Amino acid sequence: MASARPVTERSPAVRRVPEHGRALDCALRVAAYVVLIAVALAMFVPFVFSLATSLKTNVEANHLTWATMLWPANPTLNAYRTLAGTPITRWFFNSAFVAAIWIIGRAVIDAMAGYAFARMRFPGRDLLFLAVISTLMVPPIVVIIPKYILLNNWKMLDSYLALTVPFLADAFGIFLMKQFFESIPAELEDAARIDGASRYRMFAEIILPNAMPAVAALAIFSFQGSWNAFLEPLIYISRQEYFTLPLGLAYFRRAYYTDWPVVMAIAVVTTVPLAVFFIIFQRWFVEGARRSGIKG
Amino acid sequence: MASLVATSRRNPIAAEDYLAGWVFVLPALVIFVGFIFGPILYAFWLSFHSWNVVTPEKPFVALDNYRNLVDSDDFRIALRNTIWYSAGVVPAQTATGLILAVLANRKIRGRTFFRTAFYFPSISSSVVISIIFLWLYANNGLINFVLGTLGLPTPRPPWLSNPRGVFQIAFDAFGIHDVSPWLVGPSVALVSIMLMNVWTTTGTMMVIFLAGLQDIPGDVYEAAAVDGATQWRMFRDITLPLLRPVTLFVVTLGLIGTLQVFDQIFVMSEGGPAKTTTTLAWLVYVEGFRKFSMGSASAIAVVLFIITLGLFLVHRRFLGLTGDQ
Amino acid sequence: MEVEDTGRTIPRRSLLRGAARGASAIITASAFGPTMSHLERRAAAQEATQVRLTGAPSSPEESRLLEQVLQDFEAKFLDITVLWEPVTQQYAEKLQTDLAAGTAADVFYVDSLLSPDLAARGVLLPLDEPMAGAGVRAEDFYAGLIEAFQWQDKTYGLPKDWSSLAMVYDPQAFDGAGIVAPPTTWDELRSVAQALFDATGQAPIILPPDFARFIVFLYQAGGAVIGNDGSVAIDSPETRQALDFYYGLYKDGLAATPADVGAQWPGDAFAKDLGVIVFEGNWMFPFLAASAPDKRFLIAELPAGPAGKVTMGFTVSYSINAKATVPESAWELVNYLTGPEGMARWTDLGLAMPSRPALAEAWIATYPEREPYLAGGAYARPWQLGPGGQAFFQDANAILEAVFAGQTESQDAVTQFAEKAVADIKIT
Repeated sequence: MASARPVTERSPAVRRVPEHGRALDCALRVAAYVVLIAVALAMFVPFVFSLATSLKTNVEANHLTWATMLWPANPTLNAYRTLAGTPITRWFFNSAFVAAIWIIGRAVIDAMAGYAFARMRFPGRDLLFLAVISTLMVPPIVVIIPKYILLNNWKMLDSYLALTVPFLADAFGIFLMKQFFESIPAELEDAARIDGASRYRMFAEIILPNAMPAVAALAIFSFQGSWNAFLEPLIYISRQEYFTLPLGLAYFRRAYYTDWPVVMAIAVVTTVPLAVFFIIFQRWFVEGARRSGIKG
Repeated sequence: MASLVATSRRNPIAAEDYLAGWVFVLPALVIFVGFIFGPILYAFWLSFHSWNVVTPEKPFVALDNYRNLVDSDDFRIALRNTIWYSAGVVPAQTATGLILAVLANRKIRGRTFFRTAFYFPSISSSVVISIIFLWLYANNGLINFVLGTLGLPTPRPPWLSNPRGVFQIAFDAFGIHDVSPWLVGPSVALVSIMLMNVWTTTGTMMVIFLAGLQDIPGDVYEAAAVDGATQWRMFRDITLPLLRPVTLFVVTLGLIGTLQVFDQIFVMSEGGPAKTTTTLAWLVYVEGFRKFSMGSASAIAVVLFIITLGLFLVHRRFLGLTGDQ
Repeated sequence: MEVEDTGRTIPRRSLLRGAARGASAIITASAFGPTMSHLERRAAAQEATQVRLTGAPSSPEESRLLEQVLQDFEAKFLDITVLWEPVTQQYAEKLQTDLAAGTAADVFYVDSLLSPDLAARGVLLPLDEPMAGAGVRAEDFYAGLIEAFQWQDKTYGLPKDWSSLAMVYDPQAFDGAGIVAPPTTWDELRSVAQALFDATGQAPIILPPDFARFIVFLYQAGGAVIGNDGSVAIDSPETRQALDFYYGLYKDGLAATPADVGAQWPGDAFAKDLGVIVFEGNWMFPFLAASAPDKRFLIAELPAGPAGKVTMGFTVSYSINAKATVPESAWELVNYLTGPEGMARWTDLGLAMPSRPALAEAWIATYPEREPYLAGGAYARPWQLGPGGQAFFQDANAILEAVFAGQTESQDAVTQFAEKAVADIKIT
């Protein structure tokens, strides 16, 4: 897609911007801000609501008023104290450890595969890629039992292996990396080739550093997928010492008797690390662009 | 794509690629062959058998499972609902994801804040989101409150319990009753879940578009600005075309995700009310885990797979990009 | 690292392909072949017999209490150890997956609705022999409960505890409308509801479009889902009568669904003062204690229908895996947990009621206010619809939802019930 010819072409129609064009620009900018703020609030408010609920007593949580929507009348840490009495630190550690493996594994494996599909010609490439993408088109629920039988036969159940190894590569990540590698201009590789670099060096020294935005996106999605995963860990893990956070905290989501503040405290505990991770990694979206070095 | 790589065997890179290509995909391939292809092929194989899950017998039934789908009311209902769901959610989340990404990409103050805010719904646990939306959509919840204040009618039964098709409601207003089930449209309940889906996934699409926007070098815009192009023009003539591969990705993702929609149904509505939020993936679950019919569930999964694959191939051509690009 | 162009690309490629194919063949062969589960190996290696127990405790407190009871058991039976592996959510899915893979526990919970599906497919061990050997009789348990776990004259599980349905109401609202006593018949229910409506302008009864509640009214009218001869009997005038009454309350504004008033379930509506009368089980107690501790409420037995008093017996059994490697030890565990000693300990928590009538007195003495629930033991029906019952339950709910949304007429609904019953309630 990206090619060597110039991407902008001088068009006589826009050589000089008419007056109403500039005003339109200004209006657009204001509108942009308004939309952004409104949407941002809409997105944040629910989280604030859940944070507030986590600081309420059960009674207060069940009797919502407009005044206490976003902050409780009498904040209390009861819900968090209840949580502290559970093995939550162990669950937290398990989740964090598994997530780290996912991220590192996928960043390397998916990037390598994505690069091969994007840039290299090798026999069976297109068919293989189609096969990989096709795995996304099968509803996961229908493979739970065969996967379970597989993991059981390979003695991987009830351990970190079941939570990590099958997930070290994923079609979504490969697809993501492939699309981004395709949009890196070929000039970079051509220059490297002229210098006599092999594919392996090209990948490590040029391609990967330039794909930082994509790798950051991949890291964020991998963390998210791992952190929130519920059904598969539930099926594969029976021993409580290997429970991840969603598993351990599922106790508190009882069918009839819902302890709202505790449920919300769980939600807060689960969401905050993801948010922090995102805030850290989204900076790479800017970093990566700065490093793109295409001008040369 | 590639400029000066000719497929001539004399070219060392091309020759290297024959092997290097496989080396690069090997780790992924190991995982896929080990854990992913196998179970999927097993499920496909199972679709030609009958299995009640709890006993080992799996008699071969050839195409019976598929034949039963043709007569099955539930399958028709699920197919309809899934089509409505995809047709509604994919354009919506693609458009909003793109708009938010463009807006959040500018050098505006508080860019980090905005990006984080937009991404929040995507990372929130499904428990939180479902609770929030159950409250929003409740009869005495925020949405009805706003509608009431504006003097607009609120649906009875309230949103997530309302099985009436939205088009049906419109038809009724014009006095047209007795419409074919295929034309009543998604139910109010399904539309409610669709809106929730868009709200949740917009952030993810935004992140992807953001990463894509970063790859567009700034000097391209500078050159255009020197030429006197407006923001809108730049968006239309530079951003959009350069984002084609990313857009393909987002639309593909959207299609696959919406055709497979399960988690939201599981948490919010369990296929109801009156089966109007029963999607194909939900039906797979019900057949397999509640009706003790894993063979039939696998058949539905295969059909879903074929639909998804078909749509993927079609729209890939439509967007003018093939795997070779 | 440079790769030189040697021109030997073809042989190398096919070698790689062959290796890949071979590897995947080996992997596939090892993957789906039968082997002994790793847990079975672990158990066999130990001295004492290990019995694996799994279930779905509804709360961490319940799980902890069970652990205490298990410790008592191990102290009494020194040569048996119990490995308790609770499943926090999605228990049915996990159980079915385990059964599919052959890794299911020796003893596990079976919900009454699911029981016939497992029993009819030979997944559960018949308990009649061990029961006879230990002097345990089916009559030791409430009829409506043990029936749920019997299939073709054999017993496949013993109820561990149970909950019934009763009428929970707000005495203050009753006083406000001048109602002296809770209703005991359908007609009285209607007139009480009318009086409450006239007094408050709000629908007093919270009625969900849920077959697990409607079925009580169906039975109270003398109807049935499956007749005595085993055929579908739901297409009957009694069903019509029950549906007309049930939906009639809603149509006439005397009842509202939880969604209509903005609640999750009837108990939720009750706690939020959005409803005056609900039909719920003894789970209301801990729920109300936590979410509306100051709310006064009273309980009465369900009003009787034209055919008499009926309530539901929601229960779960301890059942033994037909493939259990240690069936005798598994039976000792089941016997203890459902025996007078274990059960008394267990139901002391008050969350669920003892399924043995012999323990009723002592339990009522501890929880006198829950007497209407336990009194239902005399006339409770099993919450069980035969094999395929789960599937029918789902379809029946969909039909009820359509009725409540005004999309389906009563008579059509009755016909649809019958159609779905014929399609769903059977062995596949």
